[in-house]
Amino acid sequence: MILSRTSRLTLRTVALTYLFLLVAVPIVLIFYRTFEDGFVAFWESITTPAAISALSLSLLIVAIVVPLNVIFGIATALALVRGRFRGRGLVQAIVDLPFAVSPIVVGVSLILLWGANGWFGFIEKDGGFKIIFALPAMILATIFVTLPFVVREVEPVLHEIGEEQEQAAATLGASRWQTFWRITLPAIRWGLTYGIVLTVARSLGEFGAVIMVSAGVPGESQTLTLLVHGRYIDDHNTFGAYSASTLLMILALITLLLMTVLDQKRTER
Amino acid sequence: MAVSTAKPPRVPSSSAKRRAGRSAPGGVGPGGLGIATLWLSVIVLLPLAAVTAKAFENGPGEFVDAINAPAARAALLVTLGVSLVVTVINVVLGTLIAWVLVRDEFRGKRIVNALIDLPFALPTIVASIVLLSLYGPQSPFDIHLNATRPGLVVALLFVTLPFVVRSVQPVLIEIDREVEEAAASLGASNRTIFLKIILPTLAPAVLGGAGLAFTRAIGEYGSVVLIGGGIPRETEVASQYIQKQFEIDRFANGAAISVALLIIAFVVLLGLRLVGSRAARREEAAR
Repeated sequence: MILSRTSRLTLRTVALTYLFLLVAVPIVLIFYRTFEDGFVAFWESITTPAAISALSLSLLIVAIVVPLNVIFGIATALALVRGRFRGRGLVQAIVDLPFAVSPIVVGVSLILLWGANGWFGFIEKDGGFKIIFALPAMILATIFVTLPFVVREVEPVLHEIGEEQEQAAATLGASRWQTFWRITLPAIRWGLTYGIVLTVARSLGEFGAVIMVSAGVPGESQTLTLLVHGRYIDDHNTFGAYSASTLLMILALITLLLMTVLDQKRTER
Repeated sequence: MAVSTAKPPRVPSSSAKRRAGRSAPGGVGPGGLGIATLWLSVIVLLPLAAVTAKAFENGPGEFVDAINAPAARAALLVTLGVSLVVTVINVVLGTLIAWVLVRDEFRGKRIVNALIDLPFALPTIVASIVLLSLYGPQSPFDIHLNATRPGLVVALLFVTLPFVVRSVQPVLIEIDREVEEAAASLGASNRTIFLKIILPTLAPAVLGGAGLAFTRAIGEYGSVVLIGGGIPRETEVASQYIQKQFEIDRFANGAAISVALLIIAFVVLLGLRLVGSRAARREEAAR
């Protein structure tokens, strides 16, 4: 199908105008609003005690969620690819489920399961261990929404590399662990890294699921995204919300850069 | 690298099939499978089971009543209506953008291509702030979409931008252009080529992207919470309604709408899977 120059230019203009108005202009505007009073104002706004506590909480959640997702994600991917068992289709569907569930529904479900009046309410009532409206629930919510990433990035790589080398290693007397560390892990490393980048980005950015189960105390139980919301809604501090958003946006741009680089690495193989 | 092989992705090697039944040395064994199942159950299944049980706590009658409550029904209808509009716009403009990115050449195309992924990388609450800065009370262009349905549409268009584009793009790259050239040389017009050759090939990908965009849109919260305003029966979407029900301790009501959202998403995704497998079978038969 060969388009005339006019129609080609028309299509290009429509596409670029749409992207320009929907994505580019708003983002440039935020950067502008953040830095119009200079870098110092931005810096001061993201280094207030509340902001620093929000950043550390976000990073703490990432630091807990990523290793858990890596360990259980690889185990699940291995089980799905190498295991032969009934109900694999079902497990596949469950892995994809978090993508289809609204973040609010995630939060609500966690409250009904782990809350004081939920199924596992005895942990809080009898054990005195607070889960909902505390850090554990924020971690559970983040794991829920990021669960598919590692599995879904590692799985195709495992398919692709096949089992020959693992079998060869086993024939030569390698144990399961040795085979995993020496053969499987090196082979899946780029897929795994890509999955981790996606997990980190989503963990830092999750809002709906986390706000439902956070106690929401500024300087204590606010993540960066909750800080943006809190500053805008509760404090009417628009500039503060903009600068916290810019911080998150810079993190997102770094993610995007890593994704592009890693994507090339993956396809290079 | 020794591990690099030229095998096509997602296809298990023939030896893997041959060895089916025996435990694979690189696998996880029954213990690993148990751990994976337990993980998925505790993280994903049990919470969703708890919300479903809560929704039906007082029988299916109460469930239906909760969904039929005027404010709940209004929120669901606003959600579905807005999501439908967003999906249709995505189908048209997403396909168009994919087309421009694959078939057109211009400077800065790589940057534009990278821009498409930005909404995925950007936290939803930031998307809300970003759009408010442009279309909110302090709009530099005097466009005010704050607390209106068009505001909801814009926010959802932003977060769902990548779905159709990223699903159509690879298909468009793979498409066999010789068929188009043959059709053209036989005198087919561009319109005919598009409708008879390109569109049928793209349709499954467009549909798949549209389905994902729609399921994302009906559950969205972060990007609409600020720009939508959450005015009951006007711009309040289902997720906001659920959140409010939980704030006033009406757990069963919130759970019922949650289950309604889950059912809608499930039906859409199941439908997509059926359409997808039928398309794959047809392709197989055509070979």
